[in-house]
Amino acid sequence: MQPQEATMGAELAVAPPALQRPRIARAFGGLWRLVRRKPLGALGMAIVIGMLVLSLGPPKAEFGLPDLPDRPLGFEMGKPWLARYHPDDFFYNERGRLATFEGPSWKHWLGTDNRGRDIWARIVWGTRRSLFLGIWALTLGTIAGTLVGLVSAYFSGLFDLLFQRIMDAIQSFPALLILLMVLSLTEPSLRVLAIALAFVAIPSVQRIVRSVVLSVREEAYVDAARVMGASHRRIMFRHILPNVIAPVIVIFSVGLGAVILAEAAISFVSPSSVPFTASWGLMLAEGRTVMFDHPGMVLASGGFIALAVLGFNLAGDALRDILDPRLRLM
Amino acid sequence: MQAYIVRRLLLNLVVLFLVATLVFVALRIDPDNVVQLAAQGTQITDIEEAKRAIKRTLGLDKPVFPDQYFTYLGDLLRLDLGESFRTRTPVMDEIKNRIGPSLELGILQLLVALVVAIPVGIVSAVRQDRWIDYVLRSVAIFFLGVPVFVLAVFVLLGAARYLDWSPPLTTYRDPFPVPPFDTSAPEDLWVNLQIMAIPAVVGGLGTGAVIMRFLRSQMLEVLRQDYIRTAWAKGLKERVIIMRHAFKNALIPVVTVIGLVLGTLVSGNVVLESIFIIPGIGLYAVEGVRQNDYPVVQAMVLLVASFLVFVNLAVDVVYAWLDPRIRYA
Repeated sequence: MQPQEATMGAELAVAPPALQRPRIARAFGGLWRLVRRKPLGALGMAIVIGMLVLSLGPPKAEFGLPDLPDRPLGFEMGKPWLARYHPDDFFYNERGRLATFEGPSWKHWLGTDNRGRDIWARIVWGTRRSLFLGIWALTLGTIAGTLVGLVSAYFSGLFDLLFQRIMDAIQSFPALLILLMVLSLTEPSLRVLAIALAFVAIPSVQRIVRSVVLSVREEAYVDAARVMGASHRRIMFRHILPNVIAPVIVIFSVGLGAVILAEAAISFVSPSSVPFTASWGLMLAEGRTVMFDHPGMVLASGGFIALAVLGFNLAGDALRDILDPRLRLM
Repeated sequence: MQAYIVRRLLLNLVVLFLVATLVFVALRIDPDNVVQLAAQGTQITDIEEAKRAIKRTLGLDKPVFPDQYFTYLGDLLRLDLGESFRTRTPVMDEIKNRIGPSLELGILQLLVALVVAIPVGIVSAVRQDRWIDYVLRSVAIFFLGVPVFVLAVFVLLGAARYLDWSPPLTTYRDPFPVPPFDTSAPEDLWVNLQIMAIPAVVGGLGTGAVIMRFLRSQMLEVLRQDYIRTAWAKGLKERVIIMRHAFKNALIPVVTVIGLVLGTLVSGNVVLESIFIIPGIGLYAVEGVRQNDYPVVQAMVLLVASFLVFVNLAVDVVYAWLDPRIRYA
């Protein structure tokens, strides 16, 4: 035992503990600073992480094309760990009748709804639908918007003028109406909804990307790259694109809230034109019929919609202040 | 200035033309589905027969370009928006009947928003970082984050449970109300206001939160200017400094925000009108979607888009008029 103690002592002499705090403590320190400086932002991020945790389930090894809401990442995702039941399971009480409008209990954390289904389970499955729909829509929208903004600002001139007018045209549609129009033309499907939401997101993404690219384009290092004979593609993607990353992250997080809101609003207004899986907006619409006698459904679904949108807004605001304060007035 | 307005008008025409083209393309992405859906709603029993009839009325049996496209543009120029699949009435007439309630709701919301946002924004900026500022800002964040339709449903619920009061119309008890709704607006002003009260206040507060946040940041900026210090040094009254010197100058950028907010008001009203069964154009659009009545939805999109395009122009003009330093070249 003696030699071992000696080596430990030697290590201590080299690196005093005061200077080398363990990694976990450092991470907690950073977290604590965030909570103290931006309490609302930290709250928002906690809500976002909470939603992510709610929507996760055991992966099953059936790979294929991504499909919403059950195969969001290309593999089948099983029942969310926190859901307890399937959203379409009906429950019966001891007399053999459908257990409708039961109050919260250990079996049903938030009670049951008008058709005897578990409200908590439907909320959790609805979280997965909202979240992954939002992630897919924004991923598509952000990629398209970034490309449009980058190319439009880089080549400028007549090309830019024309492109910006098209973007003006898209932007002048109120998002909700354009989504309703697309849904009235097609069969209900989450994939179409995601693409439509992405389309709506393009103009605002490209506007911000464009403004960044317009200023970066004039930098000396871009001229230098050009003089060295770099191709347009190389300049755009290697020299200009990295400047856009911070604003794009901010747009992504703020946009997720907006997309989740839009999905809920559409399911709420026109339940027949969206797929009939468990969804917060659908629950709110259904719950509205019975809310004066049994407010449980409305309170649960409305509460979660509000919480999610609030959470993404707060998290996005905080991210913006940290990453790119110039965006504050947009 | 005149040259600027003329140029903007011309540019707006280009944008409107693009809007119309986009809507045209949208219908042609999957025309068979539209025809199928429309055919299911007609009286004709033979579905193939019905499909052919629909195709003829929509002009889908002709080549897409140039025939269909130019017929479409020509109709638009004559303000002919087609007729509804279901009711067979021209969409334009229906819009004329329904624009009133929508305008009323929009104006009431804007009034509520301004009446709340202006004093709150000023107080919150003047008392920066005091407790009242924190309280007001937290309330604003709440109204920014919570969607109008969730808030509206909760307010309805709360009013019925604790105040034992509901708006006079009871159609919202209906889960998925089936059109056509009773679209005759109530004549009695008092009944009308009772129906409008909750949507106007809820929508107005959501909009007001945006305006308040922007007004506050503008006020903070202006209050740090030299001429405000001069005004204090002259010994002017606080009220005069804040209202006449600071507020007036902070208000100018707020005008642009009001223009931006109008767009969200329109979207929000689609939802609010369908909750409270207010027979406006938003509800008309929702009815159109629920019944797969494509001409109605298309007309709504065109109408609202062109409205917003011109609102944006108006905002820019008002902005230049309020602030003579702005010169559009």
